Amino acid sequence: MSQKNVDKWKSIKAASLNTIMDSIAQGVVIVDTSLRVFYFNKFAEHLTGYKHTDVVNTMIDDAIPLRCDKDSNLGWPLQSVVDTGNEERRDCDFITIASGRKMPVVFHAAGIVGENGKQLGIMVIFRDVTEEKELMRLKSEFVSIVSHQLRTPASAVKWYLETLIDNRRGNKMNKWQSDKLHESYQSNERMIHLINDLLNVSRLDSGRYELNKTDFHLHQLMEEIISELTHFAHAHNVTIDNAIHKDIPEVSADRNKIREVILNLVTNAIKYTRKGHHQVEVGAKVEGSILHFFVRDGGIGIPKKDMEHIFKKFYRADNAIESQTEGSGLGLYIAREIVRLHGGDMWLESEENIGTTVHVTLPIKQA
Amino acid sequence: MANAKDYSVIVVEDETFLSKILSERLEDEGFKRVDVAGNGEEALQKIEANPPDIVLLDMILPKMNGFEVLHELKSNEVLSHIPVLVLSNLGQDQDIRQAQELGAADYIVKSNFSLQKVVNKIYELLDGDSEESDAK
Repeated sequence: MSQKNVDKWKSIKAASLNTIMDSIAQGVVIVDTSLRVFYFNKFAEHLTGYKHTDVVNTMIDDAIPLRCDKDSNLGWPLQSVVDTGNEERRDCDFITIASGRKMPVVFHAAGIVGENGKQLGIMVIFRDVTEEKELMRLKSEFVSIVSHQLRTPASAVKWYLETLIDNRRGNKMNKWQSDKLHESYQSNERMIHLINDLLNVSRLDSGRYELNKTDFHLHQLMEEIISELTHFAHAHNVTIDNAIHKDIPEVSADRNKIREVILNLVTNAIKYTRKGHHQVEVGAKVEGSILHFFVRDGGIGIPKKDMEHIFKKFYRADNAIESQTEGSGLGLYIAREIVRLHGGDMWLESEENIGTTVHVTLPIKQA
Repeated sequence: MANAKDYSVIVVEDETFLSKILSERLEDEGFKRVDVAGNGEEALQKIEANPPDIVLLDMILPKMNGFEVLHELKSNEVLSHIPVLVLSNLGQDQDIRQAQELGAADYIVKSNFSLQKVVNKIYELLDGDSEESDAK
């Protein structure tokens, strides 16, 4: 290529880059390594109402400060985003635009690296998620209203069936009638459980799930759960071994919510047990500032191909469906989201026809 | 445990299916008097005319909702001591918190509680040994 063509190609390339930057429907900001704004595209001007002349040469945290409803100290976490290469999507993030409105945003940041491998700056691409958030809110509100409306007739069915089963007024009933009433009661219970799960998912997804943290002993909570599951475990011929030491440090968490999480995990461990395997073990150990506890069963396990999907909403492993065990596929999703809201995590180890161990971490009470 | 025949109760519930089965159960339990009100205004009138020992209060009610009834009761010097057990199918954290802040003794999501558990909770509150809410 002649020098003339090389120069022509360079100028086309530069002009094309400008055209791309100014025509994409996302805000683009380029900052240098000191986080001073170097470039602000037209769509960023359109989204924010700021002119590039207002913004260029200003620190990004001063020009278009990113704030979080839940933590006013958070700014643009650009370096960490560059390091991880992930899109940063915190539900609380917003920028205040020229009109004064708080605009919820999600953003992605990428390092701009020179030919010598040195980082020259960071490109931030952000978009307005106001409509997404509003849709999420409307969906959540809809689920909430529908769930409330469904709970009312479900409560009536529950209380009427319970009254018939209790038979406190001594009306005669044969075994066939009694069996059918019990089956109806159990079906209604499953429906109530599903309504509760849908409500929980709705609250978790919309960021309206609240935690009421206290310090409590996991050993004691586990004893309560074992007591509650006595009949269920007995019906499956399973014993629960609480190996959590009495003197293990307290955790700092929402007791009712963690109770629901553990109840769900232990219930799963019992109901997916295999013939000839009659024990579920629960244990815990301290790892620095966190408490790591586990629920281990000798159950049907999870096939390898299902492992990566197992925490997705409504996902059920094939062998779980084949075993004709009841379940909505929401329990593990909800459980992990609740644990993550506490700053902990949840993961699984499993082998088909051997068993499953669910691991959970939670923060220990601060001294 | 409290003896039912020594106590009176009012069921404030607009769903007749639910108020009927609950009041029947409380009558079977032997409570001295079981009143029923189908809306918030009627509830306040009945409670003022004949104060019960405990109020079972739904939250979504015609004319005056449960939160307003609760506020009125707890602002009334004569009636504020009466324990109020909320029985609602609103189960959002903010609903439970609001009811507790207004002075509810406890909060039960109806679909999650059997009638027997509701009755146990009533006895617990009449005995005056209710601990923190176990609403769920």
